[in-house]
Amino acid sequence: MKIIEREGKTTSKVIESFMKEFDLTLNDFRFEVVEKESSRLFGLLGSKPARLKFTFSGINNDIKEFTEELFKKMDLSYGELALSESDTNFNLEIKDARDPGHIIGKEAKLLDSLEYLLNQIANKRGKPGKRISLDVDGYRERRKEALLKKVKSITEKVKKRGKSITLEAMHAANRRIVHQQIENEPKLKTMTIGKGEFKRVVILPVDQNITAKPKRRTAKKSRA
Amino acid sequence: MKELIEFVVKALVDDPSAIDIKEVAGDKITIYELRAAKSDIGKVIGKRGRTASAIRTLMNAVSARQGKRAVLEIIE
Repeated sequence: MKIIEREGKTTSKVIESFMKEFDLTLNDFRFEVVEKESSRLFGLLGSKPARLKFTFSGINNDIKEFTEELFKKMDLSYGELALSESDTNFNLEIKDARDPGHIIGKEAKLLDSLEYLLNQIANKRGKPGKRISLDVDGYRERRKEALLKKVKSITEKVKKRGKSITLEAMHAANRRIVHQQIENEPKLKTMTIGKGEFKRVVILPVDQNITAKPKRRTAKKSRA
Repeated sequence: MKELIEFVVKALVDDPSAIDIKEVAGDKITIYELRAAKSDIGKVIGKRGRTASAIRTLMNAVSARQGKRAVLEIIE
């Protein structure tokens, strides 16, 4: 939460220039008139400026600034950090990274860790109510496409063989993608086995169930 | 490195002034001993140690580039 005071000729002019300065809309902040403008003797003796106090979260700027500072301390080089906002997310994208592989890390471990920490910090500093997602040069989008492609080929296999196939352990976000994809298949369904970090999705024909201890057929490991 | 840990941890806790990090340099491995206010320890560790492991991932990524190893110890 930031509090800033501004002065100007009239109340409305102060608000206008404040919105321009911080790139905000009327819904993004609250204000309080500390002192209204007044002209002394019809303006002949000069006038007193209007003073206003603005209160706003400034979370957009905070997230970006904080992330940039963090990357600087980590010695990561990239072209720019772009922030866009959707209804549910703040999307941070690192563009033109010098070494995207390093920022992503093995099995996206570093990228996920950074994203997680940013969310923890943002949640603590005045709830944004939105998730922060972090990406490097469209990496997540590419992974999603690769995953969908893989799911598609496994779907075909399950249909052909009539036997279930278990995918490797994946993150919740990725499992969700699989579940959603299979929902479009009237003859197939999905189930989840395992616990915690080791949850796996099983794709199986609608009329089957996972038996007590099935011999697991695992799809070839890939970095999804 | 110390600065990086401090930056991240201080943003996570309620009482940043209580954060104390000691650097114990070894031959190849540097140990960072982190102390925080009692009420903040949980925030630094996180559910199932998730926050702590995320911080360690960051540290490993940075130190690996310098050909070193960095270890984070959270001291209660």
